[in-house]
Amino acid sequence: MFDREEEKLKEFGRSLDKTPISEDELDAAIMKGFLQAKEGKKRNRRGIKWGLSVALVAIVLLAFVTSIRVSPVFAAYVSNIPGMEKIVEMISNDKGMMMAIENDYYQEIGEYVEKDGLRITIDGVIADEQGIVLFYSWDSKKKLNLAIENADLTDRTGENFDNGVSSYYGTYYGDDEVTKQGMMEFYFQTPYHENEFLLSFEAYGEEYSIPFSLDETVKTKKVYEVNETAEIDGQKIHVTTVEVYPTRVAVHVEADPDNTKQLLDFEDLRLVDETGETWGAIANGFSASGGPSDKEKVIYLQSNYFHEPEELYLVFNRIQALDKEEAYLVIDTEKEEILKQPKGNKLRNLKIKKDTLSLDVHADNEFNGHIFGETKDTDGKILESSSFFTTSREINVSKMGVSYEKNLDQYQSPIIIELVFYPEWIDGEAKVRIK
Amino acid sequence: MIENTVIKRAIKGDDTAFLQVMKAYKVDLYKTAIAYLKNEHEAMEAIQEVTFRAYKKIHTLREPSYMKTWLIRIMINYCNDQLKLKKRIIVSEEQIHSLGATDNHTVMEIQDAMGQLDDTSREVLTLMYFHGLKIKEIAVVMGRPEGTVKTWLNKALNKFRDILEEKGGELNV
Repeated sequence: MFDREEEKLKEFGRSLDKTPISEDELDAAIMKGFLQAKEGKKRNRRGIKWGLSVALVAIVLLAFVTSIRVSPVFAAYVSNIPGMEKIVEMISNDKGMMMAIENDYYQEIGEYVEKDGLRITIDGVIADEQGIVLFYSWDSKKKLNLAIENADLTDRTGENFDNGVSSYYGTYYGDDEVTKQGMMEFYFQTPYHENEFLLSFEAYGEEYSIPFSLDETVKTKKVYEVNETAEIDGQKIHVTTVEVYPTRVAVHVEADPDNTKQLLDFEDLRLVDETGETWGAIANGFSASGGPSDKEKVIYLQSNYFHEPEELYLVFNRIQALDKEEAYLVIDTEKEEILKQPKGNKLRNLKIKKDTLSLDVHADNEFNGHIFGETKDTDGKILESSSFFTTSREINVSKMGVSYEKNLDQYQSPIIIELVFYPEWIDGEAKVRIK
Repeated sequence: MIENTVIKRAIKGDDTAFLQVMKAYKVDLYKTAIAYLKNEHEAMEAIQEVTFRAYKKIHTLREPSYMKTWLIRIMINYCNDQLKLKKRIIVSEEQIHSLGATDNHTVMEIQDAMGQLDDTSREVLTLMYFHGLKIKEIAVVMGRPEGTVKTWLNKALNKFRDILEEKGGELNV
């Protein structure tokens, strides 16, 4: 009855099948949507914004955890506290946090809020004078996953502490089982003096807040004034101080102004004690702050707070580095062309589409950093970025992109992008005694 | 084909699995977007938005085997909203080019006719003819009895024919 119409529709369907499709663009669009969803569309409710040059924050998502080995005593301790097993799973790749729990430094909280059939509980925290790591869980009849957005930790009146950074995640692990627990981390630039807090956040478009207080006094940091200089491949690095907190270790370093290379990332910086026991980089969470142009850089490591070593060394063998005059990328946005990049031609296949710029990064070794730093146009105007993405198709080749708040044709070409990570390393041996 | 276990993991909130799912169905989604929006840029925009919406809502999906059609429905809903915003549909040179069809006139004619249909008719025809779903499957996806879908399909084809004939008539005058 509708033969002719059906045939036309099918023909149209076939013509759609022939539509040329750019897989790259589709992947980029998916990534953008995904990142927006993850970040929550309206971020920075209270305007906490750390520019890239102030803080370079690397966050790695939780990896899958299959099994954890702990001592029988620890296991017994863990089984005594409700929900603790999952907490241990979440932090199992952080020696410092594990030790904090082993040393009974976990504070149980148990405060909760209930709205709309959803109950969210702060189970407990690991806190020190500049950071609060918060473990939470939820209970709901209908909702399996809890997507927390815009989490904020303030004092009871809702006043913000000094500029801090935060990250939060939950439910991303466990193969078949739906976990109903997650963790949030808040770190501040200066010590806080309250013990009464208000945690506020959004979930499913609803606002929630939970007041809680810390009853036990937090342990104060141990500070090592180091002031030693290490050298790798002719580049000098001054290690000024090392601060050991229960949640993490902050290593403060300064690159010598006379260095010929820009030091980008201290990949394998670690603490080693007299027995050879090692505390390495933070696997999930904030790993460093300070951009290439900043004098000081802070690298965060897993904490050895609860371990009192006889001797303690800071060791590193490998730094991501570029010649200073090469540590940037110049792009002609009109011709869609790379005008200048570090030697080696590792950046290829530049694409510009509206507000988004992407290129392929060819690395000889495993490389995970996102290369794009501060971007300026010819007039010196800063291009504010709105999101980043990375996809890997082959080993050692990744497509990396950045989206700016405005379309690229709104800026004066060429633009200059500071490189904050790059697949180029210097190697050597550096060992600084800190205790 | 994407495995059911991956879909299940995606529903439970596994990010890697979610991205795998999106990538597995990206071409289907893109085709739907192009059919509705007829414009490459807008279609990419649509993919981004659908990814966003899907991520926020994936935990509500009960049956993993409905993943594909669930995503396509999100896309169709989004496109319907976009079309309402536009009211009048203009076909640009670029869009014709991006369709890459040999018979541009037919393509335009059909696109135009689709654009004039009501939402339900357009959705039924899209699922049926562009995605090759059977009436039974459409019934499940839209949550209505098969009989209703059959009625809708008949109505849709009727309207579609009327629109095409009206056009043809005008051309012949």
